[in-house]
Amino acid sequence: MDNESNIKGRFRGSNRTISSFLSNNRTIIAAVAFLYLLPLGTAAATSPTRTLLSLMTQIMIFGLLAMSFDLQLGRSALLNFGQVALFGVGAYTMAFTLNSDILPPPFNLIAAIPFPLTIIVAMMIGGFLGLIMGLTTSRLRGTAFAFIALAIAEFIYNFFNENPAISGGETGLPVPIPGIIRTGPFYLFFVVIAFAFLAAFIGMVILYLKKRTERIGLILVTPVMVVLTTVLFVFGTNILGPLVVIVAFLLLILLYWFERSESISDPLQYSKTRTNGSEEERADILTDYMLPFAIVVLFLLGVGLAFGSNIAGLWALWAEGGSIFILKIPVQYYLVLTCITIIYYFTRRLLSSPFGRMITAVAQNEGRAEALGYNSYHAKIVVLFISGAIASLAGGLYAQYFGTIDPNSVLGVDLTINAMLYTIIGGLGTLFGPILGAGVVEYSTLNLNIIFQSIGLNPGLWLLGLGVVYVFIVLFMPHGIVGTIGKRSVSIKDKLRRFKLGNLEFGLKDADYWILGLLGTMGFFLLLTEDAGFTLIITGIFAFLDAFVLFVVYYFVLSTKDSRILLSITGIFGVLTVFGLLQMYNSILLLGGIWIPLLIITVISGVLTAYNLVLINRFRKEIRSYLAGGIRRIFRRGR
Amino acid sequence: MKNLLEIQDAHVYIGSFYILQGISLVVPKGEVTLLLGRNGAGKTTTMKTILGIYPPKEGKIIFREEEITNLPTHKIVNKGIGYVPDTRRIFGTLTVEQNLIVSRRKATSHSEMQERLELIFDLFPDIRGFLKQKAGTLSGGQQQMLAVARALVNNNDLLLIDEPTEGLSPLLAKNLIASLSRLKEFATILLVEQNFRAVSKLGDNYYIIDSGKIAHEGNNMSELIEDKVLLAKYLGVSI
Amino acid sequence: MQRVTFTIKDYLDDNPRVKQILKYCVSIALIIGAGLLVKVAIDVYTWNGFIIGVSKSLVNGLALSMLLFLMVSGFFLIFGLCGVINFAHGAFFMLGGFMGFVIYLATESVFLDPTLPFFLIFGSNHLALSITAFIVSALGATAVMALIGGGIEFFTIRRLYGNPIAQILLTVGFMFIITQVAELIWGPPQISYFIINNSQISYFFISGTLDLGGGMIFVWYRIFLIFLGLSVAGLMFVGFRRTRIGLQIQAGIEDSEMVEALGTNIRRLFTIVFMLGSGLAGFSGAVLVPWIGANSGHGLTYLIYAFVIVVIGGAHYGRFEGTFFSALIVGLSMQFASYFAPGIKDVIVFIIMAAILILRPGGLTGHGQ
Repeated sequence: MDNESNIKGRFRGSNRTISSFLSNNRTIIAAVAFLYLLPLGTAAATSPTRTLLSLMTQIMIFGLLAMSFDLQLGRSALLNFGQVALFGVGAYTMAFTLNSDILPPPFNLIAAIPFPLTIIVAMMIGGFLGLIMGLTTSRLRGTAFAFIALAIAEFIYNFFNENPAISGGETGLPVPIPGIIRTGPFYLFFVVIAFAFLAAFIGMVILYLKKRTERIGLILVTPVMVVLTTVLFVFGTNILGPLVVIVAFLLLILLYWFERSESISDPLQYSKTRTNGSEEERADILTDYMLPFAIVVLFLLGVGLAFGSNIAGLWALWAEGGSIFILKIPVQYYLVLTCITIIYYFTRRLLSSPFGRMITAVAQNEGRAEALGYNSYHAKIVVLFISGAIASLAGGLYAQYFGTIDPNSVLGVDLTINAMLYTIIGGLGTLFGPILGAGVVEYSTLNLNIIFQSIGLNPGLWLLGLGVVYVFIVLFMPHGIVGTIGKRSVSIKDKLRRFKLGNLEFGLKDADYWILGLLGTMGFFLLLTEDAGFTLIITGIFAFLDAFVLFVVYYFVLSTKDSRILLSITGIFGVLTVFGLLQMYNSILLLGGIWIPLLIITVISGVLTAYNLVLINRFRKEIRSYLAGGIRRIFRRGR
Repeated sequence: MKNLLEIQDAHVYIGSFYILQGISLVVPKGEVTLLLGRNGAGKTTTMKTILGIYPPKEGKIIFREEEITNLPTHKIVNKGIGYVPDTRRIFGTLTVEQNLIVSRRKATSHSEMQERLELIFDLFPDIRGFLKQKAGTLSGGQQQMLAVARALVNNNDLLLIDEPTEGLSPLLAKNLIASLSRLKEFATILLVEQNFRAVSKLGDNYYIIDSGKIAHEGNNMSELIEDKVLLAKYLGVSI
Repeated sequence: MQRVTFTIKDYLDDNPRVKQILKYCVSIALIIGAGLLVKVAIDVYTWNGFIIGVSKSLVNGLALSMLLFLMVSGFFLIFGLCGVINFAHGAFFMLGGFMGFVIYLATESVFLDPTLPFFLIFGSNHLALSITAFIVSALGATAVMALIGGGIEFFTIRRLYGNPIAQILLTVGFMFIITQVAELIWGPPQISYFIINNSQISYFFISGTLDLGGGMIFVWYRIFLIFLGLSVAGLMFVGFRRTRIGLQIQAGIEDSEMVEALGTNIRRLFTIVFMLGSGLAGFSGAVLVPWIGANSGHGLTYLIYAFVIVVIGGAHYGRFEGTFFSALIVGLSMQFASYFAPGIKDVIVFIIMAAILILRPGGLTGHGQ
């Protein structure tokens, strides 16, 4: 008996650590699970997801670089103008380990190291370079470090530039694609990881629903289910997949009702472990083990069914020895995604540890931190080592991804400046901001270049605009995108906490925001996919979401109730009209046929919008005074 | 116009530290006002508040019946205030002559400056001797003379002198204070000093600052010197 | 004669730093000299080539150092007085070069226009025309860059005093913008613009070479640059010793708060220094165009030289003399290296910098901390 309970206890203990891990990292798990799901949609034939995947890979590589820059500047106030040296060293290490012909005999032995390990070698070398940079900080504080780091970077750049035999010179050094990248098992390995993340995700949803037994819990999870099923439906190749997933979701709702009835019928006996009755025990097993297990299995099965033919197709292609480049894009995406996930998670852990707080203390006031007994030199060196390793990892991934490197592209100072742009635009000291900044800048660069060229403007104008935006951000938004949103969101969160619709209390907690995060990420990436077939459904979903957001915004910003409701309704119908028009435009172009019902919806929405606009006239004065107040506030803040 | 300078209930923060917690004082025209107190009591901060380096969050500063509270430092100084900082802060890479030239304000014409220089040489005859020397190579006493001389280059109504005897040998300090007492003829002086015995003959009024507040004020220096309890409490003088 | 040496010795005794700098210069010169001797021992029969190499790199190095000094002194002033590491300084230099180029050609075409009165003055006197155009271009580039630099300080950097990292980020932004503008208008760094190739009359007032025979051929323009640079540097030196504003700037580098407490409007002084600094960058950029050309990639290259020179000369609380000597070291070593050891010509300045920082962490004249 004693033994049995002991085993049970231990089992529960391990269960608890997993569940606490799942509930502490909801947003990361949700976003990462979705990112892992994305490449499953790539078929063996060409599909538009590929373009997005390769763009994403590129963004994540630069995001890693920017993250390591942010770790130094945002967290420990080290302005490293030699960041690119860390990146370039990683890239060249990767190149040397992949190609044994470059280095002279005794050194080319490092090419014997098998591929995934070379990433670690590159990280170590980058870390040591960071360490060397760090050693100079003992004597030089603050701004002088920028000088020295830049000089080190320039030294390395010039060294490589003047030795084209090992650096490739102007033409560049070809980096062979590591053989393992093109093999089926390696791909399958990542697919397994993807399924593991999906299992973690659904487990997290189950745990969330078990805790959030208020009515709002289900209301919040429903859009996630709907969107996920839609994604599977649109991207998957088998209609059975989404159906099985729907069954899994139905079970999830069932589980929710079990938990809800339990918590409502027996409010006093909150802790289930104390009860000894056999009935409760059975319910316990049902809700604790059987249902969750069934949901997870069904969900994974559904996903597997939906994407099974894609995976099998890619595997078959490898088995036949077919086109080798088909596998390259999803595998490299997975590789980079895995790296960035691990790094992001560990950096976050590190920063929230006592050591991370010490780093922050040193950055804020070095003198005071030293007076408190912290060794600031030690802290800086460790930060430089870690961020050197991260930057070097980015470089290594860059080298094997792009296939050719030359001193200008991996060691040029421009790259440091780019890392700086990403960091500042995304948000200094936010860790996630730099990745987002890299995404925004890279994506805009790619698209705006095309747009500028198509309308006959010089694409360089975009870079000029980027510079201007950057200067404005430094002057007026020193916290960047993420930081500013974070600051603003505090008051919005507070309002949402007290948000009520009719007699239904929303009462959003911090724990609920992963849903918004996930929906945002999904919407963002689905918008970016350039597959014409998806646009219709996605514009529909996002018209709805946008209208909802608009409703929330209007509802909160306006002072009197009448005008709030009026403006909200107008906004919703206005957005619906615009998206209806967009969809019609799309469907006429692509699908034909189904545009007639769309026309009817659009006309109705349009008429309602117009009617509401007439009504708004009545509240003109008040709205105007509100807007004037808002504008005044913006200007005051700017000053 | 009896009071040249008046501070009304000044509250000053440096960063998040609440340094001056409601200081009020007046500096009567033509007299020497002493500001006494321990280290860290807020004497130098009061000086810098008058100069506008740390503008007060609340309260007013009035100079010649004109409010100067939130003016930038150079405008305040140009109204006729000379400053002798506590650690001298002379420009070591310049010669003594160049130090004096830098100190000339636009309002002071060259001929006026020549007159003032005569006065300076009269007060501190030594300065003439090392006019071409680099100020960084001077001794502490000479540097202090230069710091005072720098405030005399312009025709200032008010001199803010911060710890002039700090780090000087007793003899040098005595000489300096003798020179300062001659300054009384030309300008009103607000003098910060820790070594209050040295300046007791000089002062007409005194204020004692303790932890950012005026703890005591009076206009009879000899009484202050007798009041051992007060001295022990605020100035750390053992009986 | 006796008296002259006496005063120099006196000066050295008065300025132990300068003495020390000279010591370092001498030791570095000795190291370089020793290396050269080894080189000589290896190939004795190219002795003739050695002399040519030395004299050529001496002339080129001096010319480059003088102009580097002018540019870097602007950078140094801004850093010293305002505490701003101006990453846009190289971009100012580059833009100054383009300004000089454009203004020169514009002036030339105005002077050559027969409908305008200038044609009567110059006629076909191309020498006078070219000299005037050159002076106009140098002054014009200085003025334009001074206005741009002052404007940037007045409208943006001024908001951020007391936040050095934000200032650096801001100047990096301006560097980025200026570089992009230059690339938009004048194309990528692969294209260099030279006056003589673009001039309508294909004439520039100092062209050609001084041939001393035996392969000793010097470009006249570089000799001219030595004197131009020296005289401007001398003017600046005198200006800093004699004028009130020069003294205020020097005093401000030491203690800007005290300068303000003496009644100087320090903010205005900052703007003036920014104008002066960027004007100097523009001037040196414009004057160097006939030699190195105007090129949109120069911004970054010369920014790095500016860094190296300032670090060698002493960044924190350093002095002008330090900057001058370190500009000499950098300019000469670059030119010597490009003749005698082309393999390390781009790396040598960093090696020297590392060596000096190991010997004296604060550079030649600065403090270590």
